[in-house]
Amino acid sequence: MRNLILTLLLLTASANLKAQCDLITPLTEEGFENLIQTNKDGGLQLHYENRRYRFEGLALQKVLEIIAEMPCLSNSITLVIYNKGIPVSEINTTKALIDDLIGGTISAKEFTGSSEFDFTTRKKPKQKTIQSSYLKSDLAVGARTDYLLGNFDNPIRWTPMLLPSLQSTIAKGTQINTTFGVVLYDDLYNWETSRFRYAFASHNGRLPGGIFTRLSAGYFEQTQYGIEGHATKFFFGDQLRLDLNLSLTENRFLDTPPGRRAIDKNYFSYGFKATYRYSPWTTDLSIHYGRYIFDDTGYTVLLQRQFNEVFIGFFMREVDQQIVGSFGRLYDRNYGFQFTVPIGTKKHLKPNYLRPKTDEQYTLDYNYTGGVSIGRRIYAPGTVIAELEEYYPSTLQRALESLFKER
Amino acid sequence: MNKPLTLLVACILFATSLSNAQSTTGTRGLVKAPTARMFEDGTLALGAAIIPPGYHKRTFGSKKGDIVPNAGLNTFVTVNLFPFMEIMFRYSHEINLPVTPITKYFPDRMFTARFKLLNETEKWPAVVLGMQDAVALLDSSNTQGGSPNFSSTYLVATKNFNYKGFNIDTTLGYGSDIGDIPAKEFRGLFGGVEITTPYIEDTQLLLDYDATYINIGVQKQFFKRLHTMVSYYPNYQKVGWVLAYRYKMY
Repeated sequence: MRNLILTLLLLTASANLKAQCDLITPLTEEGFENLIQTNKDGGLQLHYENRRYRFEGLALQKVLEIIAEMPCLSNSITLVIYNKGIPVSEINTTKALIDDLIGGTISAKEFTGSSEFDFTTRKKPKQKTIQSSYLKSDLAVGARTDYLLGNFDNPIRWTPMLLPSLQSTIAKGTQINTTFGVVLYDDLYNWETSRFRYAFASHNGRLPGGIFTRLSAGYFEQTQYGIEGHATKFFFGDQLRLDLNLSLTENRFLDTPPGRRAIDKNYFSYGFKATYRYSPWTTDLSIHYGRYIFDDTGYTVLLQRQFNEVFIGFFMREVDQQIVGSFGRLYDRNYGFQFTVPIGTKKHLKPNYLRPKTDEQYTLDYNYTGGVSIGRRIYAPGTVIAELEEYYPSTLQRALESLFKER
Repeated sequence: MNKPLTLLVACILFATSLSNAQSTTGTRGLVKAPTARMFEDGTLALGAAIIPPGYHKRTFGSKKGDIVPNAGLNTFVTVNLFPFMEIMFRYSHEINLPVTPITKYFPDRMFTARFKLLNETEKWPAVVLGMQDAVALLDSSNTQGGSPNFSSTYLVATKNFNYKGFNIDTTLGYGSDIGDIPAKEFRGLFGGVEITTPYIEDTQLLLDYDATYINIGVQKQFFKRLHTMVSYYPNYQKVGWVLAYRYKMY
């Protein structure tokens, strides 16, 4: 009888311990996806993907708050952050540090200094994923402005448009993106109509050695129709990044606007990019050399600072063509700046089969000298490589430092 | 640390946090003259300044550089991109002058970069190198509208003092031509003071000499983000103003 009571007590205690450390339930309720919780070598591993919060830094803050509320027994905690089902970043820390951070005993700088932030080399565990992100779609509305300083008849020629888009992750790393451009007004091109801007499928992957890859096919911006590939490799954390991009496209409209004839020509474009990041200032200095999509070959130098969700950069481009700017002026080089700012709500609705949401970013290039028709590359928005900066270890560290300072 | 030294350091820190002026040019400064102060890393300021009629200079055509009867409007965005670097992009408009083939008028745009060379210490002032209309330095032949209208390269130093509860931020600078680019503003010695009284919160009195005129201003900050300044130009007996919104990106 005594042994039976003892056994029952142990079983109850064991069940309580398990329940105490259930991070899946609160994270599921919060809307996080692709959740896996494992206990290995006495440490707790939590795998998650965020589509609830606009910014990964905000999502990480919420995850840490949830962990702090749980009386987990494992002290060692590893967080693995996913995008489109691909493991991207990881944070190795301890329960004590998280508790101290949330409790205000230590600063975020002390927390980030005592924890390890890096890109992950882990594979997705074999355990069943809770709350999968696959076969769920986002219906978002963004905005875009094409413009060029004009002449004395028309000082600013511009074409603003709304961009309703449908994005869906079909399976691990595989996604589709369809974006329609609703032209509100057009005195820049004088032929632009409401039409599809993107309609492509991408497969995102991560090869052994931590090389992120993307292969896309379909219809891209700049009326380019074809295939593109991209590979990205990091060295020394996020300090050095090398990119290689290739595309084979032709100029074609999905739905040719009246009076506009597509140029029937194949383009093979390529590019190499090296980026150095100075982590304390989350600042990137990059140089891209390659053949761009309008038959121009040259280089682009970009100095860009990232303030969490805000990017401010200065660029200089030089190609083997003269550049036409406002007033028909010709330039040898193209100087300008670009910025990206967050738009819409910080927190979206919970992901579902079809979720309406606001778009997350608005980007504008300002050409100080020269126009818009050079140095253009195939861009595949919403893909893992296109969103990598949010997952950089230094971005996540800096985000926590600023978010916890605000409290 | 002994008591007088502690008080002095505290005064400097206190005064630095009170120094807030956003000049009519769009950069940190007094009424018009720049100072060696900078906002915190990651600060963004969006603003506009009215330059009164009789003070604004035409930026194009045969009367380029002449004072015109129209008022001017400077619209600017200023960012502390790095702890040591402030950048500013500005459009300078002439009010009541439409852009047409007849007027051949187009607003002037310019870019300014300022670099902090020295931080203020107990003994030494903060020192900043300013390059106004800086794109002209890179590519003067291709600058929109021909030769730059507001170019200037200057060194400016600012030191803070405290006297009977009044914070006095004093500035002295010198601007000159650089290469083929003439200094169109702040040519020669310029300077001024920003005085904060202990009696009115978030308010400062500004007095400067911009190497051409003396300017006076009163500024006030609301909610730590909204900045207003009313300026008075004794030479022309005209009034202008600045309105700017500040946001910390980090």
